[in-house]
Amino acid sequence: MKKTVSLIAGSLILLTVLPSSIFAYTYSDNGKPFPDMNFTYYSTLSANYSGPASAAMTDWSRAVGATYTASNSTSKEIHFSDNDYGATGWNATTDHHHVQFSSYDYLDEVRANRHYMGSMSAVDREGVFGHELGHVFGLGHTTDPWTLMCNSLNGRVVVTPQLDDIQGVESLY
Amino acid sequence: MKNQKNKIFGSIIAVVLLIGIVFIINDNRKASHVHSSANELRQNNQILVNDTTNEPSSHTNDIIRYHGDLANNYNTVTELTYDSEAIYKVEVINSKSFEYEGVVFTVSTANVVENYKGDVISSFVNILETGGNYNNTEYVFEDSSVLKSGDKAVVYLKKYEGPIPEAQGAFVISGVYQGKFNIDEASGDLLVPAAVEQQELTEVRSLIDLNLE
Repeated sequence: MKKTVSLIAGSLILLTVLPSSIFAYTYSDNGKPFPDMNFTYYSTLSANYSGPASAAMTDWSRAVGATYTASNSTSKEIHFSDNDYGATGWNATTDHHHVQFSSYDYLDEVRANRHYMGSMSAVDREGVFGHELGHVFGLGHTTDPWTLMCNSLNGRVVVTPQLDDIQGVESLY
Repeated sequence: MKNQKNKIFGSIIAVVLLIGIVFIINDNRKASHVHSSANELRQNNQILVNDTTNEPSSHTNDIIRYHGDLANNYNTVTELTYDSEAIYKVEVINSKSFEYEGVVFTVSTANVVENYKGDVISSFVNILETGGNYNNTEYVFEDSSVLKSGDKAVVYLKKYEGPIPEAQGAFVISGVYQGKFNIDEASGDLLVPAAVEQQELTEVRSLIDLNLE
């Protein structure tokens, strides 16, 4: 009897801890920007950045089954670029532009800031691009350092999509 | 004696159960709030998509949001104060937005009303922010609009270093927007933090909260 009661009590205590770590993901203001996860992209990234960006795309492909197809046409969905913007306070940004496509109207620009990312390792750059690609899906920021959608210096300790990031994307697509 | 022990043990279990239920209810509320907010966003987005694909509206095409990975992130006033070179209360005189390598920035010239930290070389300060109004479109970094003429704010600043010609000699807000607290004169000079869900910073309402008075 005591064992059963202890088991129930233990399970309840566990339940009080677990829900707070579930659903850490949030959505950006744009909600679901794309109709599916089959993206076309155009990259003008320099050599030190194209590898980590490719690695980040592979990470998301493995995690949620997204596809990224290189394109030179003007109707690509994601444009990657890198420039030195100076000490603006951000490593990279993603912005959604309204561009008329056949079934939706977004083009996402992923811009890397060489001022900060220039001194990063390839793995850290992969993490930043992975984070930005999370924004492309429509994810917002989290404060959980064990998720990719946490900001770099908010203590993010991962560079690939984690369960919470994946759940966030899967709830949208 | 054994009965008494059982009673005490039973009471403890009952309290734990009660606390557990309360926590679960609270967490479910939080989770449903997040998801209902998400649904609202989705509905809003649906409206956006419909508007822009079927009936192009100048309103829906007016705002472009930047989402970024911050290089410096602050959770407390102490962190902000320690890392900022200057802390001023300012009143913005004018703002000018421009594009640099595909990103819209704004440089605002502001009158330094009060100096809380740092040297004041002149009574004016130039502040560079990411975002602004450019070609009839508003560019917003996360949810923070840039300063505009007439705005009063308490700003935590760092020197800008970089290639943007218009920003030479200017400062940037510490944490892009986290170190900006607009002063709402209509509500008795209450401070409005630009930071959202940033622990202590989001709760700032007055100069006392910033330890500046």
